[in-house]
Amino acid sequence: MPQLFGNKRLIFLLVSIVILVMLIGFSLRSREELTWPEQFVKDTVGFVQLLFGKPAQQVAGFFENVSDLRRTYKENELLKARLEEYAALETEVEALRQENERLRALLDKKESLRDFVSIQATVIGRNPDRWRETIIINKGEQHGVKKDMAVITPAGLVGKVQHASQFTSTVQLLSALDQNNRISAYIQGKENVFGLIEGYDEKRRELLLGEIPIDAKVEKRQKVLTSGLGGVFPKGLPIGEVTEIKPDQYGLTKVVYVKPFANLYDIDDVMIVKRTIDAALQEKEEAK
Amino acid sequence: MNKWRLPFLAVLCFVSESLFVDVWPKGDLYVHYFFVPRFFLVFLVFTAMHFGGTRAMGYGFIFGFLYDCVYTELLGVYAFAYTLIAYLAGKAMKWFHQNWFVASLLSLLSIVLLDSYIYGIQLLIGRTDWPFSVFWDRRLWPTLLLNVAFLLVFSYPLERRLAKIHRFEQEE
Repeated sequence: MPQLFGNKRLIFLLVSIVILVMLIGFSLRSREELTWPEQFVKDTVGFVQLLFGKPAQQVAGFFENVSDLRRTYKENELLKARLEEYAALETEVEALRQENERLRALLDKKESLRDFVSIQATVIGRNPDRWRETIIINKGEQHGVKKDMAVITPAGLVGKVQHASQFTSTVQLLSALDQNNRISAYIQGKENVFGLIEGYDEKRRELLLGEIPIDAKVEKRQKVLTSGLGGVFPKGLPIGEVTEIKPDQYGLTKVVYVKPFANLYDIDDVMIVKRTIDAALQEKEEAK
Repeated sequence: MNKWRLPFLAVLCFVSESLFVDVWPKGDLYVHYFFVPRFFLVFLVFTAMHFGGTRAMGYGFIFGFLYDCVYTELLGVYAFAYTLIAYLAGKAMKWFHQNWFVASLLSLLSIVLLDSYIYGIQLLIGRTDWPFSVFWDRRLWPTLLLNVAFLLVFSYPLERRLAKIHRFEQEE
C-alpha cells in the first residue's frame, strides 16, 4: 500500500488546517464591510453569472409560463371579484393620503419614517449549498445599496442586505435570520405592540416574533409590520400575519408566530428599500 | 485558444451550480429537502483523472476560494476541501483503472466526504443544530440522488470532453 501523505505533505496539510481555522475565525467576526478583494471577486463572479443566467432564466421562465396558462381561468375569476373591492379601497386610501399630507403640512413635519425610495434589483444567484439561505442581487454600493437595508417583494419583507459590494450584494433571507440580526417589528392593532423578529421556525415555516410583554393584547390574524426603530428599515413594511400566540419558555414574555406575506423561497425580482429620512439627515449633517 | 478550454468548462460547472438552485422550482420539495448540486466537484474528480492531481488541486483551490467568497462568506472552507479532494482523487486514480465509471463512483464518494465535512464545520461554528440523522435524511440523500442523476446524464459526455481537451493540449 503506497503512502497517502509523505512527511513534508503531512506538515503542509497540518499548516493548512491551522490557516483554515484562522480564516474561519476571521470570517465569523461580525464584519461591517467585506475586504476589497472579496468585493472584487463577488462582482466578477456576479458578472459571469449574469452572462450565463439570463438565457437559463428565460428557458425556465418559458416553462413557468406554460404552467401558469393552465390556471389562468380560475385566477381571472378571482381577480375580477377582487377588483371591485380594490376600487373602493383606492378612493379611501387617496382620501386618507390627502388628509395625511394636509395634517403634516399643518404640523410642519416633512419627513417621516415611512417614506422610502426603492431600488429595483434582480436575483442573479443563490448560495448552492443552502446552509444559509442567501441570494445575490445585481445592485451594489454604486447604486446606493448599503448593509442592513430592507429587501422586499410586492408582497412583503423578504430579507435584509448582508453585505454590499460595488456592483452586487448579498441578501440574507428572513428564513436564515439569526440572533445577531433581529428586526424590530410591531403588531398592528388599537394599541400597537412592539417586538423583535428573532428567528424562523423551519417546521412551521413561520417567523418568531419575541420580546412581547406578557400582558399585551394580541389576536390571531393581526398584521405585523416593520417598526422603523433602530437600523435603517422604514416604518410600515408588511411582514406577515399572526397565527399563534404562546408564552415563552420562562413565562415572562410572549412569542408570536407570524406567517410571512411574501414567499421566502420563490424570489426573482426584489426591491431594496432606502429610508428617505436618513438621506435628509445626512444632508443636514454635511451642511453643518 | 486550447489553453482556455479547461478553465471555461470549470467556470461553466461552477456557475451552473448556483443557476441550478435558482431555476429549480421552489415547491415543498425544495423547502424540505436540500438538493445540493455538486457539479464542480464531479468536474474536479474527472479532471484529476485526466490531467493528474496537481492540476486538479490548482483548480480546486481557486474555485473553492471563489465559492467561499461569493456564496458562503466563510473563507477557506471549500478551498481547503476541494484541494484535499483533488489531491486524494489524483492519488486514487493511480490505484484504479481509469475509466468514467470509476471516476463517477469516486465523485459520489467525495460528495459524501465533502457534505459531511461541511456539516461538521456548520455544527462546530453553531450555525446548525441538526442531529446527524436529520442531515442524513434531508440533505445527504437528496444531494446524492441529484448528483447521481447528473452523473447518469453528463458523466460520459464530460469524460469525452475532457479526453478531447487533453488530446488538444498534448498536440500543442
